[in-house]
Amino acid sequence: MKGVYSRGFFATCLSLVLLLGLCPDLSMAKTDAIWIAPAKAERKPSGQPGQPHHPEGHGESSAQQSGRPAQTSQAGRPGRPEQAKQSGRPGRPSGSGGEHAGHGGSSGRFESEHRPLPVRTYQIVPEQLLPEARAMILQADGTARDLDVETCHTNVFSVKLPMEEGPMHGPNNIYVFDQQIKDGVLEVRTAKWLTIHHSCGWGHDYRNDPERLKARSLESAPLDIVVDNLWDGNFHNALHSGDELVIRVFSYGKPVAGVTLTIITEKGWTKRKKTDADGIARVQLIRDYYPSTWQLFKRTELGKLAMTAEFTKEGASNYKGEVVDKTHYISSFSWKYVPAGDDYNSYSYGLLIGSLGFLGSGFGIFQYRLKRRKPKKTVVFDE
Amino acid sequence: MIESERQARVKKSTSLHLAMEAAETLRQITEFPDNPESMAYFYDLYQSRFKDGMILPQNGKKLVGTMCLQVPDELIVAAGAVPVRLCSGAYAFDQAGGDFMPAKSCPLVRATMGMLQVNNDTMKDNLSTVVIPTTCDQKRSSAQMLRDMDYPVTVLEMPATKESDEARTYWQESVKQFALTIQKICGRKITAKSLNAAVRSKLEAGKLFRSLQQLRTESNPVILGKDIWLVSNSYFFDDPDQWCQAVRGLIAELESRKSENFSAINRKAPRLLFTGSPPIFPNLKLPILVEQAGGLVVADETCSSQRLLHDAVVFDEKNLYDMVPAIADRYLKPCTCPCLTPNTDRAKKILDLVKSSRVEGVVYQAFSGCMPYEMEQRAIGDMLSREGIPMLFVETDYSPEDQGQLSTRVEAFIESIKVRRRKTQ
Amino acid sequence: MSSIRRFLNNSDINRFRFYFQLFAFVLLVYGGYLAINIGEQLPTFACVFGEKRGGSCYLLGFQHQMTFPYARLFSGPGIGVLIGLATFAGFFIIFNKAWCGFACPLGTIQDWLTILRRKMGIYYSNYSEPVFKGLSTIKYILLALLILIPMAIGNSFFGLPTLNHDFGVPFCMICPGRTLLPLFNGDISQLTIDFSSKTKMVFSGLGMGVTGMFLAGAFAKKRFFCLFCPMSALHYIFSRASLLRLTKDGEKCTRCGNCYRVCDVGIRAIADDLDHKNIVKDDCMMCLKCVSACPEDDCLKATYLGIPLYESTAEGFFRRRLKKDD
Repeated sequence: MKGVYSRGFFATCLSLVLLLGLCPDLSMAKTDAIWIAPAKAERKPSGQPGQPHHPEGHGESSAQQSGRPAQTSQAGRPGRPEQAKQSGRPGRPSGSGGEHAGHGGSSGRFESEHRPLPVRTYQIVPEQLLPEARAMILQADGTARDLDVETCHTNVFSVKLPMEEGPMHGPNNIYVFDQQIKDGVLEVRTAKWLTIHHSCGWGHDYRNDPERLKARSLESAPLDIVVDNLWDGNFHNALHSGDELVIRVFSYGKPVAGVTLTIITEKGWTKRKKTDADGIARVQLIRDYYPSTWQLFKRTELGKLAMTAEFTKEGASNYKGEVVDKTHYISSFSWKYVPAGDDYNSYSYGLLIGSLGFLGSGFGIFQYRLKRRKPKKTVVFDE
Repeated sequence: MIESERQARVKKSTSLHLAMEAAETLRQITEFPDNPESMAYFYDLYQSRFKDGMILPQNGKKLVGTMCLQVPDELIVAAGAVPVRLCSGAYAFDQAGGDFMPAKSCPLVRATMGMLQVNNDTMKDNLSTVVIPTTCDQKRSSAQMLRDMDYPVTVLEMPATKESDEARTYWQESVKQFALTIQKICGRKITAKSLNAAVRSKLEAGKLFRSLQQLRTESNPVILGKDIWLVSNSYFFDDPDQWCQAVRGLIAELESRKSENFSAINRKAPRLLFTGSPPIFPNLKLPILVEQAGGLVVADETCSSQRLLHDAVVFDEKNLYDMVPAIADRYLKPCTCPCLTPNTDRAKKILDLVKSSRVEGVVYQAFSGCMPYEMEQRAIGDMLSREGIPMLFVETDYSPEDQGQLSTRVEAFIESIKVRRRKTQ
Repeated sequence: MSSIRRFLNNSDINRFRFYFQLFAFVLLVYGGYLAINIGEQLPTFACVFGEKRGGSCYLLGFQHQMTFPYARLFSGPGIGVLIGLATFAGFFIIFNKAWCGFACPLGTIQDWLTILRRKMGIYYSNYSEPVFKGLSTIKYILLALLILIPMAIGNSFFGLPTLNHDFGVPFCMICPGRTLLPLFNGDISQLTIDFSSKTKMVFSGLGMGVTGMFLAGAFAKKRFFCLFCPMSALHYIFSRASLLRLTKDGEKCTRCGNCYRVCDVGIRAIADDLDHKNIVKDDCMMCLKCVSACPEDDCLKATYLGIPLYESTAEGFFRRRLKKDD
């Protein structure tokens, strides 16, 4: 039985931490899990695959909005203009802007993924992917298909997404699988990435459609992490700090109990939990955003979240003619969260001002009516 | 002692003259052939009302006299009283009024004042109050004379214009004040319910009167104008329910006349509109003369008939705060009384009636002494001549003396219309 | 045919409107539960902040599009803006201002408040003529602001710095529809003051203040908010092209003022304008109460493509006024 803090877990932390330029310890950058992360659009195939980081624009938006040093901010930027051109939306406002500027408002949803791209390019981290690796997409309509993974030179692969309403409209799950025998154990790795393919321009036919909106599990996935309620009825990120994550873990479509789940946030909060008999673990996410004054508060401040699930299955299995007596399954998934609305929305002030408006006008009307009952006293000339 | 004897003598002789006058008018009216049978109710009504002096309705309720159609009688009904319009058309009372009123005053006001003076002994006690709106000068001034006769008088302040918002608000406030006054006088609070009932009662009358008016303008004449005046005049004092009942009967009879294609008069009779100072029974001199001469009054624009019931109260909320101003609006906004300035609506109304009722000529009556109608005569005449409609302007009063001279003029006018018609055909 | 027309003319539009408003309210506020989506550019306050809406108010999208920089506004995406405006105009032209009187959920709420006030026996407020005229220009100012403020986000005016995105949908932020309509979906989240930025704080504060004033105002005055509604100002641009019309025959009018009396928005021209055939004014919501209150035959009528739908008749008038009531 492995320790709860697996090496993969630390690698996850590390990669996230690296991204932020706050690197503590490089010596531990060895991983068991594989991760999927969006690749930069302008990246050359032979280029250096970057650290796993969250969808396009995260780096920028978080850097911009939280007022972090220009270093990260610049690192995030070069990708933008080209990417923007590709998507045919020049000069698109970032951060809280976007299709649903108004929605962003007080509910603090995150919307970078709420932007349609005709091709999404992903990279696999780390690069040491095995030759047999394969990728699949479980589409928004529940159908699955294979994707090509170019494993010889690079771990970059692309998913074509038709820019209209159709099977892809909604949350799409992208998977990468590989396996190998290592130290006499069959290592089966799964990486999962979720992308929401949606444009308001396509209409909102799938809005609130439970079939479209549900978090799906791929039957053929050796180990699959499914987190419920990550997005709302209109495909916005709906995860806020402090929320309870309901994580379901499946192996080949069946819930598995006793799987070790490790959740880590960008800021270093970690949580371990084992799935119960139904393969479900409930984890309350930390509230970890406390700027020193309210003026510094950004409701779009992104927190990042990564999780792995792993378990070891005893019993002989055969891989490429080699027989081992243990199989180790490991799976990864990452997402993001924003501050909870309660952190910056005040009902009491709202109701106070609303009541003041109501009572003030009501009293004004009442006074006016009282005054009207009195007879006119005098005419005053305006000289 | 001598004074009261004289008063009693005057009253007696006036009553006698009144009864004769009423009988004479009714005789002339009933002399026409083919009077509708349902009109008998109205003939009888006048017969009994005028046979013995002036009889006010007696049904145990308080009576409130009104001196103009501008008085919102819905409020009086809602306060539990019975409104009686006092405007008189009796030459007998006109003569009685001549004793103390200026010679050049309006016969309508003079007759009304004469009636109240002659019947001072009884009416003063019968009438809880006499409501006088500040419309024309003579009615305004008569308010003071009535106070001097010890009548309880309520003055209803009315603006001299209806165009401005201020005038409308002023009138609404005035009517609201009147509502308070009248419920105090009648000793019963006006409620939304009682007021609604009163409004509905008058609406029902208005609806029936409109149907009657519709039948009157049929191209096949089923009823004569003189009968219409009897019907509308009787709304001054008759019980509204009985009145409605009688009018329903009349309408039914006229409907059957219409379907049987029965004409009450020659179908080719020139179609006329009557406007100006109001004919009030028994002074139906001019309308009767016109119809005796072969004309047919298919429409009128007088405050004793068509203007009386045409307009309808509409309120949005069944609460007094909306109903009372709504009633106020009904009495001011559509008013075409020449007391108002500007009064373009009257010309417009006449023109509309001329067109909708296919009128060929207009008879304009002005009582000598009735300045507002006399002064507006020219403008109306000019407007009508632009439209190619001939107008006969008649200045007259309640006395029967000018009947011969008038009938010649009326006959000539009707003859000219017939000639015109032949020319255009 | 004539019997159908007679039936329609004798009908009580107010009762029909009450139920139609209820239906439209359910459709626009709860339509999402049945996956109904009438359109994204509706000329009525089908509030986009309501999750279960059955259609969307055009103003949010319009304000959002106004944030486009000129380069975008006058190139490809500009076509999208025009299509949006054309769709809006298309929806509007079908029903003209009846969107306000029959469909607008915010208008319906005001009418419900009016019913409540009436039942409580509290009298209504009225504006005097000059006040009415003064106030009714506010909606044009609001319309200008809801275009100009978002424009100042994407573009610099006179070299001034651009506004930040928290100014994004300024009218929505102060619209009582945003705070009140989501409540009917059980969403109370719009009742808050947003302290995440100063702009948001001010806008959400204004929004709540306006909401309070709206509730008090609409209770005291019929259709209080409609006088200030920038949507109504935007409507008026297209009103003349509409297929549904409210016409008046000045010759038949007696200026009795019944129509003015029942007009919830207090349009005096309906009674006193004898010259214009098309009588729809910018504040009109085409509730057609005026038609039902008119006792003159054929004086006021609502027509669709020239075909009369609802005409004033003496018969219908008296039938409505004299029908049995409580």
